[in-house]
Amino acid sequence: MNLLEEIAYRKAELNTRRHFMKKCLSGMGTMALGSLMGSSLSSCERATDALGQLRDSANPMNPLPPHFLPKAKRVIYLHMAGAPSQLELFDFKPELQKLHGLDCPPSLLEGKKFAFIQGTPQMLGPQFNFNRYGESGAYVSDRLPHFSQCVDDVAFLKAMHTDEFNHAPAQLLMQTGSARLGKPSMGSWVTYGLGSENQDLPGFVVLVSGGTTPSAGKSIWGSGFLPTVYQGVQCRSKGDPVLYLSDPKGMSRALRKKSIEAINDINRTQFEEVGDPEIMTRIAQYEMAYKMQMSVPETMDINDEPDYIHEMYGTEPGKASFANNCLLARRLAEKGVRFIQLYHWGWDAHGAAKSEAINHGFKNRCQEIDQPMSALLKDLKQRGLLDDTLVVWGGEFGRTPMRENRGGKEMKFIGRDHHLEAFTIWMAGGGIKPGITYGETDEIGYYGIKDRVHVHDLQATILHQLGLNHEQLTYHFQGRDFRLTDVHGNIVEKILA
Amino acid sequence: MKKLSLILLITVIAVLPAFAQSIPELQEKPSDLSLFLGRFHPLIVHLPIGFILLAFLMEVLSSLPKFRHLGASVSFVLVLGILSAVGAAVLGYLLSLSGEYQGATLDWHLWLGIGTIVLAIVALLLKTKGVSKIYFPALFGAVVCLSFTGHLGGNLTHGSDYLVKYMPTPMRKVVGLPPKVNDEGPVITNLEEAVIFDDVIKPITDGKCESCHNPEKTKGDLRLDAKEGFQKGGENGPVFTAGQPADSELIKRIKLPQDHDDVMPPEGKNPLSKEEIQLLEWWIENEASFDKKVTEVKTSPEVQEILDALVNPPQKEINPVFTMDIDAATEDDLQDLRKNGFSAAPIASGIPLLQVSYLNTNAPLSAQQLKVLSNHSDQIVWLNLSKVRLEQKLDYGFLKDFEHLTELHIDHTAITDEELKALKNMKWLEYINLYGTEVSDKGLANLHLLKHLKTAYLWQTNATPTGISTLQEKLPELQIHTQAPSLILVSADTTEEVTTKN
Repeated sequence: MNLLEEIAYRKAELNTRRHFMKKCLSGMGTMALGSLMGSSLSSCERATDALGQLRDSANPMNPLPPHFLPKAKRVIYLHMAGAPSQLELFDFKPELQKLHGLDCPPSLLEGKKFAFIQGTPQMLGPQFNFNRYGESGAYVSDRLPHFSQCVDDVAFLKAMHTDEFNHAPAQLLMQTGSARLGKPSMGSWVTYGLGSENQDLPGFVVLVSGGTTPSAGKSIWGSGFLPTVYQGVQCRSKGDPVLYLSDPKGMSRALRKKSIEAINDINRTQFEEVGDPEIMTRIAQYEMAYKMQMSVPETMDINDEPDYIHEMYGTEPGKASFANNCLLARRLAEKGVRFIQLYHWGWDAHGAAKSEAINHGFKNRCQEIDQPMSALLKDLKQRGLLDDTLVVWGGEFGRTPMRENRGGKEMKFIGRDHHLEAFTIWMAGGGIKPGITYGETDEIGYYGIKDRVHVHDLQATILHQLGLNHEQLTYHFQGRDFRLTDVHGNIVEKILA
Repeated sequence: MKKLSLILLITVIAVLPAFAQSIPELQEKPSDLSLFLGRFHPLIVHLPIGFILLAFLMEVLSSLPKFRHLGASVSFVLVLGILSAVGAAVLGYLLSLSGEYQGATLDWHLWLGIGTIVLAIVALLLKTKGVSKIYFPALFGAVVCLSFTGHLGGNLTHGSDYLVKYMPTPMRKVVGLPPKVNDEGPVITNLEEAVIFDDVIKPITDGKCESCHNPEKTKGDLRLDAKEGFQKGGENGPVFTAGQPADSELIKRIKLPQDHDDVMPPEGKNPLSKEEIQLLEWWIENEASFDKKVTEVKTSPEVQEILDALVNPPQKEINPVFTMDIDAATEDDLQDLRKNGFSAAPIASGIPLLQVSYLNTNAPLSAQQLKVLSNHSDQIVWLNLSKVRLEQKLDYGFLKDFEHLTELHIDHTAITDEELKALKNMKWLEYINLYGTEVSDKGLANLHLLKHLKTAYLWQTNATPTGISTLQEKLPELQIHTQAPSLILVSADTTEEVTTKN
């Protein structure tokens, strides 16, 4: 069957009896409406949001104005999948040290749900030494020696809390605003709201390191019910960043271009026929794929960076690493990519195995991120990019001040269980007050006792910095308007510069 | 003549029962029906205003030969005016029964309204009798009466300063009013001396509650124009329970959801801000005293912060460019730029100024592209030409057109000291990024006069410490970034033992 025959076949397929009847009706309706309005109307070609912002479905990635003047133009979000222990990195608790080894009082356990803790666990003091750094005097443990030089550029949020105590739902909540599958991710909302500055690169790029994707899978950078053109595009940090950058045998670049044009023509005919906006997404994706093959090698090849940059980040070209991804993030930021999401897997320090123990795997993880993320901040700063790039670092929840006792027994390695009441994240650049600490936990880091910030508040704040009103950035789906923060979210005004 | 008298008679007969019906109710609560009807007063009241003014206008015009024919219809219009005025008066009376409007203004409004009707009837009778000498003054009197009635009615609904609130100061002087008060919220000069109620609470309630709870318009039988009203409370009891903000009617009402029937201020009026609510709660929590000073009560850090902000309101800094009268960028402007390879979008919705960048740095910019860019130079405030190359023989002289820029990224380009002269035109510039250019001290001298400049990036340029310190002297507020302090490379120790001693 050649292409023309396929078109004829597809058309015939649509001409079922039901379709015929429907077409008759809608045809007459359209004629009547057309004569009334004096122009043809198609609800699919243009979509508007709560603010009446026009979106051109032929160019879904066109840059759009934010709701109000933004402080940040892009976001680099460093997600430490598995939830790093705040008690070993930023939230220094000398009181907990005194309680180390004592049985946990029942008042802390009653009515609580834990992923693994059973019976009576023992309290676990901070496992590393802390020091105060910078003019702000922020506490950082000796696991992050490079980062301790950057504390005056960041704002710590120490009383973060969430609703989910297992990884996948908590990651979904953090990244999509809902613990259930199917909601658009933060990056998708942002590209839907602002479009992309660079038409040759996706507006939302995802880079994964640490060995595997986060437990919630690719849904955490999915587009949910938003047109799929807004989903995160995962680039590989090893080998070709996107597949088929080089032409396969017998398939020249020109031929590929012609094929894509032909496919897109067919798709356009199909769109006129059925009006499904997903077809326009498909067309845009084909075009993006082709454009990416031109622009991605230039952006993603870190070989052309000078030696001092590689030294600063600790990058090794050709190797998949968090360091390489940090450098790539800076390069993508320079290229106008709106939302750059980095995931670093392996922070689930239960102590059930050596690789996931505070005293082993966790130390390695810290070492993997310390230098690159600090270098990223400094590099953005010296290039003048930190002013309008919002950098966010954090996991999906925190860790307990109690030592995990899986099966009720003391385990060989030291670990902490999942904890949703308190964890630390930090933000930098993009109009966030530098050198401050917001929020406070109790003496053992169990509850946030002051200036608690919920995941939805964080999301509202991130959107706010990009000039988006989180209550107005909505998408009408299944009969109602949806938004990233659902019915929640307060902007954390106190951390805004 | 007969017919007219008949109409008037019918009117009066129709009106009387309505009055009669409502009189016994004066002592008790008015019936729902009369309150319901009363609320139609604002709807009907504009008819007599229109009719009586029209009758007057027609009478005046009919003295001109061209409009003589109008004279014959004056009586008809006047009758309509009288009938609707009587209707309005009845409904107005019913509305006043609600007790939400009180005081001298209401009385004057009532009597002037009745006066209008009487004068209009007199005028009508004189007109039909042909007594033209007294007829015209009577009609004119009705119009004067009507104007005052209408004005007082407006005062009752919107507050007595409604009409002149925004009168420009020169005009105020002519009329003899005091100069306009700055209503940017309460400004306290000295927190030590401030009295909580007078200096913190009253300004809030004056702005948000007083327009409906004053001696003239006393909604819910509550006055919040002076401390007596706060103490007395309204028809639903006391306004507050000292020490217990959560149990206080005032706080409860304010904090109801915006679509609740009882929320205060009601739908459509400006609600209280989070800070204002916090201050009210703080006042009630601390005994709701009317004469204590701020320093005499406990304040939480949060409340202290809000109070401090009252003394030193945060300065909103906005670049004048954003409020300048610049021709708006159109969809065609955007398309024009996009077709030429630029990324272009308004900087925010409702602000027609543009952010433009050129990110396809593989392809150098051509003369044609630069021309398109310069065509829209007025609208562009954020321009990102980072890493951009120009085609041969082109230079950065085109930047001289971009007078409205507040942000310019020109880093990693071949821009020269000479070409940086264009910066002198960019008097609104706040941000410039010159990192990775050959710019030297000579080029930097062009920045010296840019009063709005806040940030400059000069990493990897030929600028010397001398040039930079000269620039810093000229613009002390400017943040100059040369290079972020280099990371001291430390190796994290992975062999170290756990520090906790068990």
